Amino acid sequence: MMDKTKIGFMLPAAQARVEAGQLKLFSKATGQTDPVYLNSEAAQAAGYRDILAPPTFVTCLYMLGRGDPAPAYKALGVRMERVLHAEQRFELHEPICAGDDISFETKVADIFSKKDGALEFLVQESKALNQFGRHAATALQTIVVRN
Amino acid sequence: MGKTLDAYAVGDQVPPLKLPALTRHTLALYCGGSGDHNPIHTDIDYARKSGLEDVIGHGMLTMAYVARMVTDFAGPAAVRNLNVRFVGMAKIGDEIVCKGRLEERTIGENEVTLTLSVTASVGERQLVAGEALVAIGVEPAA
Repeated sequence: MMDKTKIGFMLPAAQARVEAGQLKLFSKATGQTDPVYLNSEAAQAAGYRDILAPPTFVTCLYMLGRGDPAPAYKALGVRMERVLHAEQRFELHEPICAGDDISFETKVADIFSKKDGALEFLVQESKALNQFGRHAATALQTIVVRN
Repeated sequence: MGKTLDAYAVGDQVPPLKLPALTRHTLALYCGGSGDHNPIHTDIDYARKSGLEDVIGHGMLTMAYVARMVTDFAGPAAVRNLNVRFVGMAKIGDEIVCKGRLEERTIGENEVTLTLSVTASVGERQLVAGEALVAIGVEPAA
């Protein structure tokens, strides 16, 4: 069982540099062909600092920055092998571009269960701040553990 | 810019995004591109040990396709919110189709804010369902 007293707890901080090569591979994998996602000159001509990150890339940055999630999940009582992604929400405030340094402040936003504990849900809220100290995005990830 | 308000009406369909059949190669690319290295998406032996018949697609890959449909429609920096629930697993060979419908329109001074309902499905089988909020610059109506 997950420990509900952990609601509100901060998870380990994560930091990631937005790398152009990573963005290009992400866009190749997802079929994003708009040149603002692939080419510095095109992105700058459209008014961005550099190659633009597609909307969902902020979670990738978090995964790349935090490393292995196993210790944090273990501390919360989450059985990794029983985890599925249930829901994902993004609030996007500022463009995230190649060269940006993004810091993540992540907390346990909620823990709840359904079906008498057969399904347990963990909601993590991750706030992404850029190198100017501006709030670029918030990602809310809900995972479900099938007990 | 360039479009006027008339271009966006409640009930309009967003141009759908139809993906080719999902391949192991795409999942391998997404594994590297996204930083999601969970072997359940790339290693059939691991997937079988986890009780699945085969690897499954990343939910976030399906969400990225939905995001691509939305940015194709509204522009790369238009997305304010994007929320989805993952309701089904993507399998190898799935031909995913993303669809959207304009549900709500709020008119501002130089932009219009649209709420879109969005889905990704394979035939009748739904993979994700959710909504997007986008803000699009528009020219004042004549």
